[in-house]
This record gives sequence, structure tokens and C-alpha cells, in this order.
Amino acid sequence: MSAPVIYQLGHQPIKDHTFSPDRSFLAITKGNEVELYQVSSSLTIKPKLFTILKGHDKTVTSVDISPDGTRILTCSQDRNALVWEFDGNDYKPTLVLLRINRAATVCKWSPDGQKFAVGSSDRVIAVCYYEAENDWWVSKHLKKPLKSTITSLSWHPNNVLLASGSTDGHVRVFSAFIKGIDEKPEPTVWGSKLPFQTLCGDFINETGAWVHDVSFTPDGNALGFVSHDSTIGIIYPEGEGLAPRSIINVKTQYLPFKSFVFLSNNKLVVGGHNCNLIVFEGDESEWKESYKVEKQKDLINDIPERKDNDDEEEISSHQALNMFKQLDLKGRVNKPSNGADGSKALSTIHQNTISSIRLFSNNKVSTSGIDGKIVIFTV
Amino acid sequence: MEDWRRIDIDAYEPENHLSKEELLPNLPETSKEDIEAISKQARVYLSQGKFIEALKLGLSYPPYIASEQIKNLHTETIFEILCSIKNNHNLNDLSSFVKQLDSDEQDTLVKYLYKTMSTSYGQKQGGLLLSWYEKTVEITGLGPIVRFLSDRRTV
Repeated sequence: MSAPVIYQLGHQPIKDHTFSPDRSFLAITKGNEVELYQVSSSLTIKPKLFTILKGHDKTVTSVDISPDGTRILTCSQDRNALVWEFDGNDYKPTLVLLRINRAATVCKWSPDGQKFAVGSSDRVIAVCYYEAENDWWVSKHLKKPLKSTITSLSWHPNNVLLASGSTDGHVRVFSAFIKGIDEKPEPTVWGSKLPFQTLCGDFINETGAWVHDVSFTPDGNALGFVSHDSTIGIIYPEGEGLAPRSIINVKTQYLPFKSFVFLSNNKLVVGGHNCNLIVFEGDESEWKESYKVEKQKDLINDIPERKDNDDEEEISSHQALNMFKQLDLKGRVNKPSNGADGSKALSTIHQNTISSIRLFSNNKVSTSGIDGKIVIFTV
Repeated sequence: MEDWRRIDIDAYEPENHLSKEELLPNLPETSKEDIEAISKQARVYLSQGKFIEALKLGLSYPPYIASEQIKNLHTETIFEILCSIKNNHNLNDLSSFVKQLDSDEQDTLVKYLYKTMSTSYGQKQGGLLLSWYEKTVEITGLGPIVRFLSDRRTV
């Protein structure tokens, strides 16, 4: 297992990140802007900032790059989504007609890159596609029976089905079929007749807690989600109109998970408020934790490591002065005797919540955190 | 424009609201008779020295959908069981009780520990509740605490 690659890109929270499909550049959200970084193929050199996309006037909540790598999609709390295209000199934004009155929370390209979906706290999902005659992106709304903020979206590999997770604890599967753009899809376990807005599945987690992330398995025949009650759910549908064949609910003893990805149909990796990645494996009969990606100290029983002679050690007046200077400037105390490890509070690489996890390659995932880090882990 | 931050924008779309009732899970309502029967049975178990049976019984039927009065009644029953176990065992035995519970029961136990801490009779027995809490979390980890905070099925 190779060591994780760590990029510290400033100290502001990174809510979402995504690598281009050829891994040549990286897009991260930072406040009201999106930063693009050149990434070296060996990954050893620190990414170089080459463009800042400025177009939103509120926090950018999500960023996604189209499967062919030419279009960057961003959405923000300013209720807009923008599609950025490179015109030879610069990235130029095209506004999307979302027609929503509240923050856009999440955006995702469909696997074929013909359309995308934007979730919002306006209780709608806007499914957007390009209208050539007017040269802009228009949207159709998925409304019923949504009554709460959409937190996460995931496309089925067939480009038609769209799964959503929301703050009422529901996970829903919709048809986002757009006439004239999509081919008629093959029947799947989720259903066969799929006009726009068909609700193909509606599930609720046991506690009714917020759903933070949702994703189809790579084959599209099952749906996973993570919720704020520290559980992972996986739904295996039986077929159209039938109750699901099995619904797995894995309770864990960790802090809640914010994001996850399927590595295969039987393996997934989760991360979130516990700042570590954990791999789970299983099938429709059972899912189990298989290992933690990083060694982690138990938050309850282990107090941060201290040197034995820590208490006795006297500090010089010079060190004491520095300590108070630090306290004054940064609002935190680093005991000078602790040296370098004094600043590292947690035993994991991420020092704060992992906000998003993306598949990097077959056995690698990339994570972004509230601590301003992007890390590529081998799992 | 006047103070636009205070405008209740939800008032303009009443039909799009999620009501408190809609967020409650779809579970059968618990009646007062059920709760009283459980309380009676639990006392029988306690008098026979069947402590774990009493605890499991109490934690298996939490009244999620019920009036506040019924919920409080059940909280008192649980409190009685917890006190009785603590008074008849030493501190380290509590761990073995927690271990015999399944994960749902452990989650429910943590919910009741928090709830009893908020009552006046619970506050008088703070030490007892804290030792239960310590022993429970030692075994279960942080999960049940997170679920206590996030679960819409309140006790």
C-alpha cells in the first residue's frame, strides 16, 4: 500500500472537490470561488493553481466536471448553477436557468455528460439540459413528493434514473428522462416505464436523520446511503412495484459519515466527522466493517499522546513568550515542549471533517476536508 | 426594504411544508395500558432478581408515538430498573449488563440515560446515571450518542 498523497491547499474549508477524468487538473470549492489546480502525473509535486473561477456571490456548495473533462459545473447558495467552458484563453461561465428560490446544494453530471441535476433547498431537483436554439441550459423540475432540502444526488449508469437523499431521512429514486435527449432505457430492477418524474423508489432510514450522501452501486442494481445517525444503508430492489429484496442497515460506533463511494458492487469506503476512511464489504445478506484506512486512536479512551516528562519540563522565558504570542495571534496554545506534533490534534491525516470522497482510480480515492486538505488514499 | 431577513418565506407556500407529524416515523401508537403492564412486569422481574430480563423488557418497548405523559411514565420505569440494578450489583457488573443488550437496546438505553438526566429525580441520582453512562459508552462507542441526537423517535 503506497503512502497517501497530501495536498494542503490553504486553510479554508473545501466543501467539494473533483479531479478531471484524465487526472490532469483538480477543482476545489473555496468560499465563493472555485480554484483549478494543475496536477502532475506523478502526484509528488504540489498542485499549481492556474485559474480561479469567480462568478458566484455566495458559498459554492458543489463542483463537478463533465465525463469528457471539458465542462465544469458549479452551484452555489446564491441559487445559481454555472457551466464553465474553456474558450482557448479563459474559462467562461454560462448561466443555467434553474428557476429555484433557495440555495443550490449539490450538482452532478449524468454519466454521458448530456445533462446534469442540481439539488436545492427549494424542495426541487432541477434536471438541466442544453437547448441549442437558445444557446443556454434549461431545466425541468422534479417536485413531488419532495418537501425538504436535497443533500445529495447520484445518477444510475443508464443516464435516466436519479437518486436523491434529503434532510427528512428519505432516499428516493426518480426518472429524469428527457425526451429528445435520452434514448429509451432498458428496463432495470427499478422499473421499466420511465416518463419524467416517475418515482421508482422511496425509502426512509430508521431514525429519520438527515441523509448526507447517496450512491448507486457501479452496476446500478442497488443503492447505498449514509445518514447523520452514523449508519450506512443499502437497498436491494426486487423489481417494479415490489418491496425491496433486502434493506441493509449497518449501525456503526463512529461519528456520522458525510460521504462515501462504492469501490465495487460489494465494497465501499466511508468518511466524515470521524476524520478517517473506513472500508465496508458485503452483499445483500450482510455488510460489515472490514478495515480502517488509517490507524486511528479511539476518541473516547485515548487522550492525545504526551511525553512522559511533559509536566516536569520547564520552559524557558523565551519559549513562554512565544507561546503567548501564538495564543494572541492564532488563538491556540502549542506547548513549546511538544515540538512538531503539538499542533496535530488528531491521529489521522485529516484534522477536521472529511467533506467529500471521490473515486480517483481503481484502488485510490481522493478526499477533501474542512481542514483545507486534499488527500489521495490507497484503499 | 424593511427587515427582509425576518420575513417568513415559508408562509407563502403552506402546501410545501413538512409538518412535525409528517416527520414522525410510521409506528403504532403506544397506549397507557401497555406501558403500565410493562412497568408491572418489570417490577415482578426485579423482585425475582431477574435484572437483565427487566432491563431488556423496559428497553424493548419504548413509547415513541405517545403523549408526553406516557413517555414520562416509561422513563420512571426505566429509572427504577437502572437504580435497582445499580443497588444490587457493584460498579463493574454494569458492563456485563450492557454487553447482554443488542444494539437497538443499547441505543435506547443511552436515550433514556439522557432523558433521566433531565428530570429532577434523575438529577438527584446523577452519580448513578453517570456510572451507567460511562460503562455503556465504553462498550458501545460514540454511535448511540449520535443516534440519540439525530433520532426523530424520541423517548
